[in-house]
Amino acid sequence: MIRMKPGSGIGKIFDRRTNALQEFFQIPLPSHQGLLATISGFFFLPTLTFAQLPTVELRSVDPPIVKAGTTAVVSVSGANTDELSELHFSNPKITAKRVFLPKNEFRLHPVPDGNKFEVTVPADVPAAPVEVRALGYFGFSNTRPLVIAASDSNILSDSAKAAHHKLETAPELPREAIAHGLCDPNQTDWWKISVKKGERLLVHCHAERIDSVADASLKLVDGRGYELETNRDFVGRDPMLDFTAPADGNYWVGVHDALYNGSNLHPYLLQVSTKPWIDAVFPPAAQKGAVMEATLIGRNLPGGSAGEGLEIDGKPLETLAVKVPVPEKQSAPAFEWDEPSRASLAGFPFQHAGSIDVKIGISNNPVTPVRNDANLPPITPPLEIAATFEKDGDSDAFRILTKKGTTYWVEVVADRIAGKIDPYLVVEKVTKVEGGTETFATVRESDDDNGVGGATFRNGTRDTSLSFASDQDGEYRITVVNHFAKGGPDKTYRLAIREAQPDFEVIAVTERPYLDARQAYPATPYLTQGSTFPIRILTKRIDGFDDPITVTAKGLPAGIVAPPVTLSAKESSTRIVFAANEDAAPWAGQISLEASGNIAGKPSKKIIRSGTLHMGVADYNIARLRSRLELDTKLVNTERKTKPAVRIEAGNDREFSVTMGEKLEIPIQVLTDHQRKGNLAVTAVGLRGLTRAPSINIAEKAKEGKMTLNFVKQNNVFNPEPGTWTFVLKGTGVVTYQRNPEAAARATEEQKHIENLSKKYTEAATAAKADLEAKKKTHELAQKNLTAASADAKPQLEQAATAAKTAFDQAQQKSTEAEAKRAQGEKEKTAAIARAKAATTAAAAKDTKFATWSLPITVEVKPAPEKK
Amino acid sequence: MKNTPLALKRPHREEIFALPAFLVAATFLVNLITAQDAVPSAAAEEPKLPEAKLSFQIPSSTLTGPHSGQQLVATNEATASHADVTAKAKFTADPANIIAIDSHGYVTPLANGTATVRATLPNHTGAPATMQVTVKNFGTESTLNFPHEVVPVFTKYGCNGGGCHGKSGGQNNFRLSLLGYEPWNDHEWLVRESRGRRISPAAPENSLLLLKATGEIPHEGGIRLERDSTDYSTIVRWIKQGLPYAADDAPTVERIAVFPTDRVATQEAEQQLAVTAYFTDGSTRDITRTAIYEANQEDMAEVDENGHVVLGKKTGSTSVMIRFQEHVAVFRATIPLGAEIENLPQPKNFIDEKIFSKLSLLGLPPSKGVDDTAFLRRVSVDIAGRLPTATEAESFLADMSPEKRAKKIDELLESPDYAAYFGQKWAGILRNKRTKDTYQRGTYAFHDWLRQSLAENKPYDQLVTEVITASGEIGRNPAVAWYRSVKDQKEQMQDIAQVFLGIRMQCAQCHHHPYEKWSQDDYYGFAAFLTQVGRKKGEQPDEEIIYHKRGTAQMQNPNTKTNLKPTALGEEPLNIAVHEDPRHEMADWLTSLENPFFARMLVNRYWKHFFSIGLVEPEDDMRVTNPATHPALLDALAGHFAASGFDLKELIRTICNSETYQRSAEPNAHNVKDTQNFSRYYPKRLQAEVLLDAINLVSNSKDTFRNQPDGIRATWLPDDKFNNDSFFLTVFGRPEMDSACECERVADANLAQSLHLINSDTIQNKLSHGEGRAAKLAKATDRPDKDRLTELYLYALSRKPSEKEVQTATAHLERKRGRAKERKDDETTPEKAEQEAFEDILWAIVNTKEFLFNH
Repeated sequence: MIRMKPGSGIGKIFDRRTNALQEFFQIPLPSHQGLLATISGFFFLPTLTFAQLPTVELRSVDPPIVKAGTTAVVSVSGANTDELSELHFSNPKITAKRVFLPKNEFRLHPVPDGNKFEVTVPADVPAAPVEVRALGYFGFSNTRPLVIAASDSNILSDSAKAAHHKLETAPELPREAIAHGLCDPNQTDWWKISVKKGERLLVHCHAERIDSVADASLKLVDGRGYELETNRDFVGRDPMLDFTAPADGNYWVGVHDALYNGSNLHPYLLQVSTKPWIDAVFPPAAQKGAVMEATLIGRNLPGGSAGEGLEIDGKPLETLAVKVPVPEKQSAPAFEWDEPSRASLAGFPFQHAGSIDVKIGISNNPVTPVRNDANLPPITPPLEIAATFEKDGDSDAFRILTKKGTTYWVEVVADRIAGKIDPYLVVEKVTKVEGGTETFATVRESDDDNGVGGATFRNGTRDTSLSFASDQDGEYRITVVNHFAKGGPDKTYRLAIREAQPDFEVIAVTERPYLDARQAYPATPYLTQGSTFPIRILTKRIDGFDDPITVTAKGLPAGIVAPPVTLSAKESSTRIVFAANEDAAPWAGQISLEASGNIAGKPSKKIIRSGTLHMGVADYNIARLRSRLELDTKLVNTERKTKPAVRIEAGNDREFSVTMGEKLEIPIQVLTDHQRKGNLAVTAVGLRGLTRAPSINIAEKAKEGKMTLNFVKQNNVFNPEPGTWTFVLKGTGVVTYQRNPEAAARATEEQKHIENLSKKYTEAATAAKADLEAKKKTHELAQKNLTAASADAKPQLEQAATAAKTAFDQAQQKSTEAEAKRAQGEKEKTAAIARAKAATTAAAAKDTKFATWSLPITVEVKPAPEKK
Repeated sequence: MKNTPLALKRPHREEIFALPAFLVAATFLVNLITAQDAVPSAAAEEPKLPEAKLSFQIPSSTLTGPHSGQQLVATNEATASHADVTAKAKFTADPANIIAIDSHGYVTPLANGTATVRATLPNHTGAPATMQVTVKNFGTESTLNFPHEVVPVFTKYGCNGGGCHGKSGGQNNFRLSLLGYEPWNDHEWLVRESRGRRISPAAPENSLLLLKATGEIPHEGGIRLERDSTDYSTIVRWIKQGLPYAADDAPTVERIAVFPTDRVATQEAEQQLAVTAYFTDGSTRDITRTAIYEANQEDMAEVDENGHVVLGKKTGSTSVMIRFQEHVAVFRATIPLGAEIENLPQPKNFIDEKIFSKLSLLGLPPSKGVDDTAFLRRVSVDIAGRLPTATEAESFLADMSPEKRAKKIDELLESPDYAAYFGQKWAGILRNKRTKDTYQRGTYAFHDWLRQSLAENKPYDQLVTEVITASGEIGRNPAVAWYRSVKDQKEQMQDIAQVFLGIRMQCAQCHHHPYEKWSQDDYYGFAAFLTQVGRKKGEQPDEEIIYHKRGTAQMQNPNTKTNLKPTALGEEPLNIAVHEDPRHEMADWLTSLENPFFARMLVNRYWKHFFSIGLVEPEDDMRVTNPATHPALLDALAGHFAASGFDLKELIRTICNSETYQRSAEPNAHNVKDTQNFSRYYPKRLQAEVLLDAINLVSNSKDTFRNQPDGIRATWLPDDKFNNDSFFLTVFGRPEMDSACECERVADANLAQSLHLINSDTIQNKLSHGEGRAAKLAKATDRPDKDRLTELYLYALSRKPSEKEVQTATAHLERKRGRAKERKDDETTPEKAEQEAFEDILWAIVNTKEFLFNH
């Protein structure tokens, strides 16, 4: 038997030509219906998973760009965006008003028009992306960028829709205008451009840089449809085309997602520009407060000279010498689309003659540009070098003179500059033997700094650093290798060699308090009375910084606490936990987190920036996870009575002491226990050395439990060590939860109201119709009488007939109007029933998973007494 | 509703382009497969030798010991092709008691002394050939050399084959090294293993080894040895001699040679081969009866275990591979047809010179030149993977310029379709497989990279270097995708060897290559270049960063436990510093002008693309024992390619502009059976993607593929996953990209394909959809039938219909129209009948061989 795919095998459609063949070969027909039933049966088996407590996630802002000095209607969308009331912008001058549909007979109150807001951007708001958060039923969302365009810019909306998909109908994109659009599934959006021969155009596409999920690709075709240029992954994953026209004429720029996906989560901005573009600045950093003499390497640079044969991907570059004053301090944080490690790098934005901003690094030390590492004499630390991997496979070696007994820190900054280099460090000790021959012994090598964010938050970098102790007054060789092996004028890096300059950086990760395996979702802290919410604290200890770091929350309202948490020298991450009292008042606002520690014996405080995920993912083993920093930290507390809330605490004021080799018993209390169902599984999270903590169950009605930790080394379970450590208890379980029952009640009320109206209009239509029938008969009778009447009687009857006609016409009009009302009422009723049903279904009590976190616990682990 | 069969046959093309017989699909299929078998070739006449001029291959020979032997080869040099007459000649020895000569010309000793051997040819005139044979040490039993004399017996009878005792672990507890490559192990296993139970020194004939081999006790492998055979007695002697291995200073075999190496012979001619082993001490020995013979093309030559070759009737070149231990030799034969060639075209380039020269040698007249319509269609499919549009066809046919074909070739090479078509070819070879959904970004990027590299005509050596030395992450350097598809270092080396050199190293992983000179050391030494490829996590799941991991590149030969340094094939080991990426050394060697394999492999691959068959077949198995049909052409093509700077477009330009490429696919009276001499263009079924695109073009429809732009052509699809979206692509053999072999692509025709074309929803929907060509033509009632039919033919076949075809199709249209008028009660409206009639014609055309094949 021949196996045929359903729909492509022997089928009924081709009977006209193939009956005889079918009979000849006696091929059995597959049962399509049977097959479909089997397939659907397989895929639609009931699942036993529980929902999770909702957190609001803002995913799209449409349009993603608004011109300064204008008011525009902006739609937002995402997950759990119930009852959005406000948009909060990182620039407080920008305001937003929810767009409402006015009250009418079918609407008891004005109702929101989708998730639309009227956004007003004053003219003096600088042209740059700002962050926006939405506030709704489930609190504050994560942030999304909204690009503010200069007030004199030309913004084109993607109004062409399907016309974009064909070259013949593609809209024109004028020079320097900024178009915004959405990638459509299985399509390319085409934009027509007219170009003069020899004109060099740069086509910029922003997608990743505005939090789009589109992996944007650009192509440029000529009138024959021949592809002349393509590009992707030029800035991050965003493409840029560099095109010099071979002849006058029309060309077409196409934008599409690399995998031809498309949705409202796939926005892009497109601009065809002749403005300058800076590929690199050399050196890429300078000492704070200095005036740096830099070379701009780029394209369309006014006054630039042909760049000494420099090129990137075959495109020639220009160079231009400039002097740039370097600020003393890093500029105030602005929206940064890139990974936290790159965003955190100290620097300031620089632009030249209207170019897009490029970031120049700020160093505490002088930065020496090195253009050729060959035959460079040994140099004495501390020093910072700027250099370039000029050619493919290039690696640079530098010799340093060291002092015996001194520990040196070596750091490469490359990935954090532009993400195009993967540096690797090798330190070798140079020994001279008789006859002048040298030998090299590898002392240390180091690769990526992977960060401490784990699988759900990327805060690492491909950059690397290491330390080594010199055991001689002599020479060491430090080699910087590029694992990407790609060279070019934009492959610049900084190499710092110094004695330790300890410092620290801290990020606060705002994420869902409950995550199933392989999930990662952003969530802005959202409390309900009697509940807790954790924020993960990630630290980076620079140059061996080994002092404790204390994290404190500021700006909390009454009723909400977040005890400071201290990370001891060996700890790199912990959690700060916010807890709302049972009577805490509703509140929504900005808070701040501060990290303090002693740097070189001097107290130092740093504002901690929040880290968020660009988009939640259900399985980070499949989907890409992107993280970035946000400009503020927000928190919401609500008093809603339908809330579930469970709160646990460790007794003993959350402070414990234990000796190595002994057991520690931690009493656990359940403080609030609203709507919990079944066991509460409690485990310890973040205790140093603890890989697999014991999990204890607290039964549904129970209010206490006890966790025992045995401070004995157990492979792959617990490797305890003396010190003072911080950890938290995490309880997971199920609550019976009603999602937004207020909305269901409102929808039900609205349904009743509309049903009444509909009923009223139905009755009115029925009455009007009956009246029309009566008037019709009267009118017909009058007409008949008039026809049959004698000439004498006619005048009198004519009057009656006219009156009857008028009455009939009026009745007809009324009936038509009443029928229209009835139809409208029916339509509104159908919609209201559907809305109410959806809201009621959503609000039905469901078993829902949750996690609760105790306030941080400290344990002092004492060394075991020495054996005698 | 009944169908009316159409008869659109063009008489002069009946054999190739016959329309399908409606409702008789099996006949159609047979026609489709056997398109070229219609015209028998003329039988060659046996040459007559009225006068012989005989010679032996050697002037003298010395036989040492009673068990030595010498194969004689008698040649009649009076014929132009120097015919072998060993089997026909009469041999005499003078004196007669020194040696014996059997009917095959094999000499064995009888006594010490020297004899003169004479060979004459019965019924021929001419002087006899003579030579001296000296017998020495006849009375002295020499000690056997186990590797040289005993192990070859096991090899000859298949005892140590991979399916028998030579497989890993042996067979029924008895193990021999595969093909005898480890004679020291064989000796150990035979003599000592199982407490020596296999050998009975006291009664050698009762040894288990011999009782099994002769079938005297049950042997799963059957009877392998006859008791009265020389080989049986060799083993008995070895046992009697006390199971010797070999003297410590015994010479080893340096090389083997066959006589003759080349022959031009008549059809069904015989050729006795003589094989000589050359030892490290300078001595030689005849090993004709112990060497192994294998014909490379069994339909062209047969060879027996004594090296006696009988050629077939097929015109062309063939070869016989000879093996002894790890050494190989090859005998090549050319079988001419001998027909008179009247009008050999004027060569346009060196390809024509080489091809026509061989055709002249063979006496094989080439087909006439291809006409413009067939050329346009052929070259469009071969270069751009698509049919020409109707507009292109019209414009090309109207162009009267003599350079129009060269211009068209250039146009096609500049078009994006060329890069897409060859991009998907290379995507298959380089295994651009979407093993997981998460691979998709990478497979798309790699395909784009290949496509763009081909579009910009990146030199082939650069392209290969960029793949082999790829570092970085997939978004910025998509070439690293290859390292994700091919993860294992040994597999990477095997792919590199096979894809870029045409060397199949797989065998040498476990043992010496049976048909090649490559040893296990060669295998692991070559793989050592890849041992420092590092991997670490990339930006998203299942994406990696590929980099050079600092360290010493080396790989251990598991057999000898020796750590081997990176060693290019046939070269000396390299000392590569820890910070240097060995892959660059590998790529430099691979792409150097001195590399004998690199350019040859590529030109052979591309030759096959255009001519359906490689100069070497399979195209990626280029070894000395598998010689090219046209070695000089292969060399010339490789030289031209290298001299052009490895310019792929120039190679294609050179091939397509040749007169050889521009021969008609229609055979003449002599070359219908030619499948290797390129005397005509060999028709080939359109590849799955090309055929699907062609049907879409002709029917004005399209296929939808997930995550691809609407209306994408199948030849542009980047990876294997689309086979799941389209049963058409699967059934017509689009490769799954599981291996580096282009043989994954199914090129033949089968019943499922025929049924799919004749009778599937897929095709029916294409033919009948509302915006389809049939519907549009049916609606264009203001256009004459002929005009509409011409459009259809131009789209489908790149030519205008013949008058007869117009008549037949018009008759069909009229019949349909008439029936619709007559049958008022029928639901078929005149409009519907018109569309159905055009659908019928379209369907019929799509099912013709003229449409389905490139010709």
